[in-house]
Amino acid sequence: MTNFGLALALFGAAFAVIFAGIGSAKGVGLVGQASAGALSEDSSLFGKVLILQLLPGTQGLYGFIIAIFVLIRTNVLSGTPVELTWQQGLLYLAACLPIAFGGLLSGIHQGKVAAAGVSLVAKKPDQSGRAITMASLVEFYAILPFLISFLAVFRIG
Amino acid sequence: MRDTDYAYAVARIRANEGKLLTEAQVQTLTDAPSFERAVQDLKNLGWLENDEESDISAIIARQNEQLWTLLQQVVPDKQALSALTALNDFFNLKAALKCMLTSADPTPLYQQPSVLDLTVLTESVNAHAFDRLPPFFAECAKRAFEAAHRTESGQSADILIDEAALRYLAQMADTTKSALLRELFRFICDSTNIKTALRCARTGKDLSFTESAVGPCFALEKSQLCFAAVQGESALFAYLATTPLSDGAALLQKSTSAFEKWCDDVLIEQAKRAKYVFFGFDPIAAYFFAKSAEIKTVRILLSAKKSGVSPEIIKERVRALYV
Repeated sequence: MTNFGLALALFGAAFAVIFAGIGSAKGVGLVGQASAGALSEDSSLFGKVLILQLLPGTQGLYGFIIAIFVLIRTNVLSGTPVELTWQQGLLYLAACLPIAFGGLLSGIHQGKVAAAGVSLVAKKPDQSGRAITMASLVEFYAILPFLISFLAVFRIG
Repeated sequence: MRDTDYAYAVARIRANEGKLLTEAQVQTLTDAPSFERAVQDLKNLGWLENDEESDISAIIARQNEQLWTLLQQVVPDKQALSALTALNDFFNLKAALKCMLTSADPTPLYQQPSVLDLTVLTESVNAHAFDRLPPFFAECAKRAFEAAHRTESGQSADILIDEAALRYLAQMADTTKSALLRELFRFICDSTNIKTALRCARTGKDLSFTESAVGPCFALEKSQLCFAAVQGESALFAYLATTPLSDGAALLQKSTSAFEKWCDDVLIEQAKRAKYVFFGFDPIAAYFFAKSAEIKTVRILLSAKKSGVSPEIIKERVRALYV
């Protein structure tokens, strides 16, 4: 098979976007439902719940960034893809896995924390700072896999 | 249905929890110098919509209606709501049967909220077409109707329906995914059975009657409860003192209203656990019991104010609050 390595690298890019995107979609969707509930009782909470809804969206963005870097490194974006050995392709694929699965799980769980935070804000609007802080802590576990994927993609020769 | 499907519902319910009466607000209502002042205070708290409204039944009915409308709007699984109104549904069935026997109109007796369509209930009971009701209610109505005809008294029908209501709750407790509802229903079964056993003891009923009147038990042993009730009141209280419901039994020895208050307070105490749950049906069920207790408190409070009862006595009857 010609350029099997490139195919593996592109699979890695696809994983990063798809799985991290699913995590974000689930998280943002869940917080969106909770936000709709809170806003139907008090529309002045929009600014506070919007921040909470945005938080689980970052995982999808991280996956997207990693995929773009893979496309840049393999010259796919310029239209002249490089020839990759299957070992090199496998390395790209492996490099994408941390953000793919880290993004998937952290997105879902951050969504749950943020949705619970929306319920907290709905009952006690003055607690929005604490709700945002709690949801932000989950972000750490999206940043770690993102950094690993980022460094790995750049180090593959 | 997954717990996360309740995210919208829980957020709306949390927002409404913030509007429940606080201890300080209930204290203000209790200390109000007159009924009119208490009504005015309730108006200031958003309970009343217009100046003229001061009829207690109307105030309570509207609050119940608002509670039910909210739950119907937010809960994604409407079937889950039927568990919350089971006792009202069986009460309404009892009212429909009694009124059919006496050719009276049951409409003013019906309790809301009710999952059973009350028009269908009235029509099917009047026409003896019980099959138009949901299966469990149809079977119960048929048996109660036959018993009422056989004995020519409404009492046997009452007992059958009350026992069926407890069996229905016990069945719900066994099948519900909500851990909170399971505990609450089991407690309601046990506390209702204590009251039934006491009535049987006071009226000198025999063992077979008592066993047919007492429903499924959880923290109590049904055979021991029935046997003790047949032995008399003191034997019954001696048995209850050995059960987990001994605190309530001690209050029941003093007065039924103290026991009723204890039961309501225990329900609210158990419901408070849902404050730490953010998905699923538990927060919804907890709010239903919390708001119902609040409505009951306001009803007691307004009735007492209207009759000129002192704040000290009102305080003894006011239910525990959820917030």
